[in-house]
Amino acid sequence: MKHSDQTPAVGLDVGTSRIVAASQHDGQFHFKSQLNAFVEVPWSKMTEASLRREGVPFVVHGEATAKNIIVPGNESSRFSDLLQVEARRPMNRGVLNPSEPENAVMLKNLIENLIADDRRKGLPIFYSIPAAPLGAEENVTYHDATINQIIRELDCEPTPISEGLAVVFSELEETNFSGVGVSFGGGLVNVCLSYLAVPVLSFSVAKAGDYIDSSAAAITGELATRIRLAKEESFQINGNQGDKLHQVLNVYYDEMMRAVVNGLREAFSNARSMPKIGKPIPMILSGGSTMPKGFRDRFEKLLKESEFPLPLSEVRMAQNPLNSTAKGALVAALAEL
Amino acid sequence: MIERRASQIEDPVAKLRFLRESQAKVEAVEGVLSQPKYWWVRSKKVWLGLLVLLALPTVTLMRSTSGNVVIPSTITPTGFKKLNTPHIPGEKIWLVETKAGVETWSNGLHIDTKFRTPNRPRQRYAWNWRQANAPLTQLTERNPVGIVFHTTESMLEELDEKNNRRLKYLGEQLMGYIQRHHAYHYVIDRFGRVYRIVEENDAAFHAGRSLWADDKWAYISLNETFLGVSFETQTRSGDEAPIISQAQIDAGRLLTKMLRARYKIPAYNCATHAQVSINPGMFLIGYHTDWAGNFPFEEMELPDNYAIPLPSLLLFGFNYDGTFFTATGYRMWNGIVAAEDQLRAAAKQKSISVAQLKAQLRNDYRRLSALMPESPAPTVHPKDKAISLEKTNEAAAENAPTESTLEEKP
Repeated sequence: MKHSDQTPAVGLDVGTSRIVAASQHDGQFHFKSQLNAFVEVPWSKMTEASLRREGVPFVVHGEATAKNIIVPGNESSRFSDLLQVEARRPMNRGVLNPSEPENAVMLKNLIENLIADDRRKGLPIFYSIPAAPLGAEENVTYHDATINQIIRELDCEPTPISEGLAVVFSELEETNFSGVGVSFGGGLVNVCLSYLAVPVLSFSVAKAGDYIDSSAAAITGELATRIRLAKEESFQINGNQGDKLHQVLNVYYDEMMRAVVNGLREAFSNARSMPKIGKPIPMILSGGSTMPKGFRDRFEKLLKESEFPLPLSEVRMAQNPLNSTAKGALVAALAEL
Repeated sequence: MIERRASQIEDPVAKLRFLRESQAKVEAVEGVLSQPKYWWVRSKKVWLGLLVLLALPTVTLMRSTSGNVVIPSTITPTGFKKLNTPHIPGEKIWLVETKAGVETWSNGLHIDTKFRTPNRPRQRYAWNWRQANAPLTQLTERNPVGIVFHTTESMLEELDEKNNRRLKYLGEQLMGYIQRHHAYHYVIDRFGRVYRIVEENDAAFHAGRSLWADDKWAYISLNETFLGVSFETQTRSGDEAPIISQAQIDAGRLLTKMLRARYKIPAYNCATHAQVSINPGMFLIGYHTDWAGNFPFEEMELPDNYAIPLPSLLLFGFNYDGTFFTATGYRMWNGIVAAEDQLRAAAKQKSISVAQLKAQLRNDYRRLSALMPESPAPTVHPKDKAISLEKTNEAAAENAPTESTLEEKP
């Protein structure tokens, strides 16, 4: 949709599972998202004709003798299910997927598509980056630099923002941006403790939605893509669902939540320079992996059992868990104008 | 303080911008204080010693006056509830003589009247805000009821002897401009000379869209009811020290005392342009931000009127935005926070939200401003012409007498 007025900036949530773009028009926030995945199938005249007939966006890739068709973004999920092939992912565990040769090309394609209506020279874009994983040596410098370069190639002005902090900016205005933002993404769970909009402690836990998908896929023999669809469509935590897939999902969800709670407790207990926060602060849960019903209740129960070191006033879901990181990145960008 | 101010901001973007700017300021101060030469600021022992030194004479004095330790009363900000103490001056000040166009007053004030000019008569209307749905009342009292303090926003030169003739030239240009635009009643130049421009009982176009209130009346359009006193200077951010000479301060004090004594003006009706200026189209306060936290009220022998809850917020439900934040100083926020606190309490009493209460109050403003008679006023506030003024000054300044050219033409 073309807008009559220009957005002053764009917030971009570059997640393992989805890329979400937030913009502002007429004082209202607008969101667009694409799955951060693509499917590659051998080219044939009939396949290309079918895609055209269905109106599916695609890219023909390769030489005349070995051409392939790439279906990126949202349609890749349907095609993956239809063709029984695993969707390819430009990112893995929160950063660029090192085993995917087309990672940067596909990311650029997806970002370009998402910001097409708002794109102009010098457009400020704040994009989310993950925090370093707890207890790991990995860093996100290369990932950050690549996204930065992609946005510059699109003639826009990039600025990174920690994913957890973006959640705080999106949801915690009533506490003056003091609180804990937790983003349960596909590749990582990102956490940020913020005090008056200043990030005090940021880290990530490398056990998130993809871990659940791949583990459940290994047990059930289903494709990970199909597991993700089932998880998002009908799964309920601790629900009385008899089939094996849901039982397996419950087990792995529980394991992921316990890992995150343990990580949170350890990180906050061992932090050296914590501010003296006089009153309890809220914790916000966001991200696609929080979508199943019962997630918040189960997570809060595990937190209470863990003797969490920070006094919390509440544990609540983000108003819009799928869009809160992008919204927070946009709020940060607008505040810089 | 930062947290409290941030809590007053509704817009998340403005709130985040304010917090980030505050953080940058705090870091800058911490950076300076972390230098070795400021070791004494970081030393708890130094502060403790200072506290003891300050406390000892106070306690001794209190013991010696009454024989018992007297607990001093706490200082409470002047608020609407405390406006029954109007601080009307009792001192008599009279005109001693007028000679060669200069008035001499009994308190030592001199007023140069060579730029004096008439304007149209005032149209004095006010609203009795204590009576719900009261109509506008035409005041029978002809005298001005208050003073608004301004800055001229004109071109400045460093106050130094070597710039003497240029300073005089810029001042004269300024007075001419103000005379032509009927912009203020009084102007105090860099040397502390007081000029009367518009006659006191005529309206001057100094305040633009503006409002203020005392213990009974709310005044809409202060051009009609208040005097405009302007200092030849430029606006600085409300937390910065103003550009004002000691001569200007002394003259300002004498003038304020004379006007208050002559017209029985209560202290709380002496406010700055930043406190009274509004943008009714957006329902925002602070359209103009001169003296937004750094006006020397105490030097004018006035209480700190920044603590008065802003009538625009409290009586008419106006808001403020990010631009206002950057321009205002912490003193001004005492009045804003006080107004917001009272608004919240009033909303709670009525069992409605603050937003609903503000909507009701804004309707009051719309009703009253519609009742105000149309007055022939300039379509553009003189201060909005500051650019043209500066351009005029700059253009004139190019031809202005400098030390060298004047020496060539004795």
